[in-house]
Amino acid sequence: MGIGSFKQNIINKIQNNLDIGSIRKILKFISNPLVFYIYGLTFKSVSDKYLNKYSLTYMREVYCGNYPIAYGSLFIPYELLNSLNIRLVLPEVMGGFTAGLGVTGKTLADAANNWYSSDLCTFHRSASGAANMDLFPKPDFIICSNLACDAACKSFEDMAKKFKIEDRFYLIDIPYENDNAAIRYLSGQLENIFFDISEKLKIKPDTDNLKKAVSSSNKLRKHLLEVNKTRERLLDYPQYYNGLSYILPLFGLAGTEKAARLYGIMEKELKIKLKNQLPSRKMKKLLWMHLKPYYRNDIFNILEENNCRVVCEEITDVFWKEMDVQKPFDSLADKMLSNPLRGNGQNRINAILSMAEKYEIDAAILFSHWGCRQSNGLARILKDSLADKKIPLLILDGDCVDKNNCPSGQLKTRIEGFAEIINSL
Amino acid sequence: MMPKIYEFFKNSIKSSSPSGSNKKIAGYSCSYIPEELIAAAGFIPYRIYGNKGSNLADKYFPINFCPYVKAVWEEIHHNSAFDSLVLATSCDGMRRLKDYVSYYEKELPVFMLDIPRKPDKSSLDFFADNLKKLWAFLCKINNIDPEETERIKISTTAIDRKRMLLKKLTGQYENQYENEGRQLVTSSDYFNIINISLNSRAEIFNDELEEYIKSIKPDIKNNSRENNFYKNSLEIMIVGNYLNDDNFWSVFENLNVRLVSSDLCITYRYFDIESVNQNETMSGNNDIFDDIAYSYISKPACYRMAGISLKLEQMRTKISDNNIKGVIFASLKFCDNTLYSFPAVKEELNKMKIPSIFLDIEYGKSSYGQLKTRIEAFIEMLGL
Ligand code: SF4
Ligand code: SF4
Repeated sequence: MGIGSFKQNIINKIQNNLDIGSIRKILKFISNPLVFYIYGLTFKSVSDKYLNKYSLTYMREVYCGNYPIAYGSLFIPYELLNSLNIRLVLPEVMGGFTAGLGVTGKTLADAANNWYSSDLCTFHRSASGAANMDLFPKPDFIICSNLACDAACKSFEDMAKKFKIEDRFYLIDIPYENDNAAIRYLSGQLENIFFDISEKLKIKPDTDNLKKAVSSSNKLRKHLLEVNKTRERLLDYPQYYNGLSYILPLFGLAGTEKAARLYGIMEKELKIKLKNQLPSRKMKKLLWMHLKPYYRNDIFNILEENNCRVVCEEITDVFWKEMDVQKPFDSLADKMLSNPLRGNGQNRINAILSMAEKYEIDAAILFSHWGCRQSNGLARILKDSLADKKIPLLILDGDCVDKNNCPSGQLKTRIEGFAEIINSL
Repeated sequence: MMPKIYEFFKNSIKSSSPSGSNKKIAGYSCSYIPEELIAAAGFIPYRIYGNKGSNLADKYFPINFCPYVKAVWEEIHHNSAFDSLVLATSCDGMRRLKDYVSYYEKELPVFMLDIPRKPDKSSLDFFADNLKKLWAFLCKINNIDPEETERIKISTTAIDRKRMLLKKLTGQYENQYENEGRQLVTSSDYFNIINISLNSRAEIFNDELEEYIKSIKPDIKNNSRENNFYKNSLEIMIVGNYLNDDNFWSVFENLNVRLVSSDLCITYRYFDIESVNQNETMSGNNDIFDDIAYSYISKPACYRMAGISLKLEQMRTKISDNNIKGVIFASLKFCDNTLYSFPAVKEELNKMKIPSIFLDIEYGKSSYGQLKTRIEAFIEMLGL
């Protein structure tokens, strides 16, 4: 049996026995050192290997029943939750995970049965379906924010209601502007959450641990800055390297030493690549906006075949300053407020234009995920802003989670057409 | 054809024409934006309907985007008579609308009012602070000293009266069956009057509405309980977002239903707001901005706000108090705040065994024939 079919076998098992008990068993099975070794033979880069290793260990902890569990939306300050030794389920990441496992048919159908409209974002629909099907461990806390979009505030509150933990549901209200009043407002909310969760966990609020988490997050940031600086000059990437695969460590594990270590490994690996880089044929450099499809797809291969390579992603940009360890709440508030997806669309445009300059990109792709109002709503302005800098933008309509909403033939034709244009420039 | 009610309110309608006034017009987009501040700064507050008829906005926004946002963009971009614009952080769609205005309509002053999602103390303080910023923005355009906050108290008088009259009208409309012998206010008339209230000048509208309410006299002979068209009417609750569409209301014209306790941006969420012009201040701070913040955050909540359980509890009470037989959940298409709330609402209604129907509204572009058929079938089913 080849490794490909070994992996497919595991996926089939999950698809056929879709319940929390089987997920636990399968996680245990893959974690067996020998199995992981075999499984790991397909890892093409060191950082990919560690990404999988850490994610797997983490998932086992999430499912083992020994830790308090929190569901959290993508851009909340995970440093705070990690400092409380909580294990996290990021439903948006899990939405992607369900896509990877090919079970979205079932999770989306469950969401539809529960009146989730098909006009809504599939990350949330799939996660809601999966939560309703009890595929995740039951949460002790649910924390969300309106960064980057309205969806989590609503779908997470619905989950809190379902799990009857509305007194443990926290909505972090992110201000539209970034000024002193906003920092005060936001930092106050974070402080309340930290103390309230500590109280509910019946533990002494440990701000020293929080400071340690902020310090680990600073380390991650430092490594990521180096990674990005290296990528600005790198053409010869490790195969299958893609910053969009690192959502869990970059956000969910922020504040842990493991995440910092992973980015340290990545920094080393890319620097070696850069040092050994041979003059290679000139690929067209692309910037990727929004997320990618998380089911098996050929997008990045098609790009490679057409002489194009994604050299940076909007989501992996370091948009926040180094945090002041002594002022954890203010610093975390400042980190959230620095996110270019907050507030005014000009924040995002500025961030994109600055990346375009740093990475000297030739073109950009906005993956227009169905139902994502906040991102797609800005597409026209992004296109015009990039056009001012003579950078073509492809708005690629699709769906990150539901492959049935993303016809691969159409995608291929559009990418090839776009590649032809940029290769002729 | 123009609804007959327009004749009664012709002065109000005239006053809402942006071109017919020497005062500046400030367009605004949300029931959480205090009209009283806009009026106090010397503007006519104009709740933007948007241009519902055209499709030009499709060149700017994705196809699956809120039709209200698109319609507003059309009105601003292609036919702007506004001197300034006040938008609110109601949703991602509105955030993007603000971006389009800032990017493509650079000359038009626009303010984004940040509305918190929670009603706690720090959210209220934050909101009061944002209201001060809005006030400063408006005063600057009209060269008014922002210290002159007395103006706000004066402007609230007309707005308070408007709200009081709209509540009275609503009482007449919702209770006409109980107040036997009253002349009828049809659903279509009721909602059209509210529409007019949204962007006409309060002083003019108030006088006309007062006259209208007086004209709804008991006519014992011809309109007794027995003859009353609504004698056997069904009480329906309608829940949704910014349903402001004459065509939609006309669907109810000849149906024997009353839309009681509706929960929409243009009904209770719009006029059920406590007056800030009271002797004792509500916030206890003696600060007009704190008071406005308090009264707006305490009004019937929109689905964007946190607290779905409280919302469901209020819905339950209204349903049982008003003997509601069915619920129409009508949402402008692609409104995430409303769509994400529907599963919880539906679950609650199922628990209460209250039949409900979900309608997707295109805002001016829906096929009303189809909507009518669905609504008629629903009502027929309730009547069985
Ligand atoms: S894809 Fe868009 S709508 Fe969906 S969760 Fe992410 S930001 Fe929100
Ligand atoms: S209807 Fe919904 S999406 Fe449209 S503007 Fe209102 S809140 Fe936003």
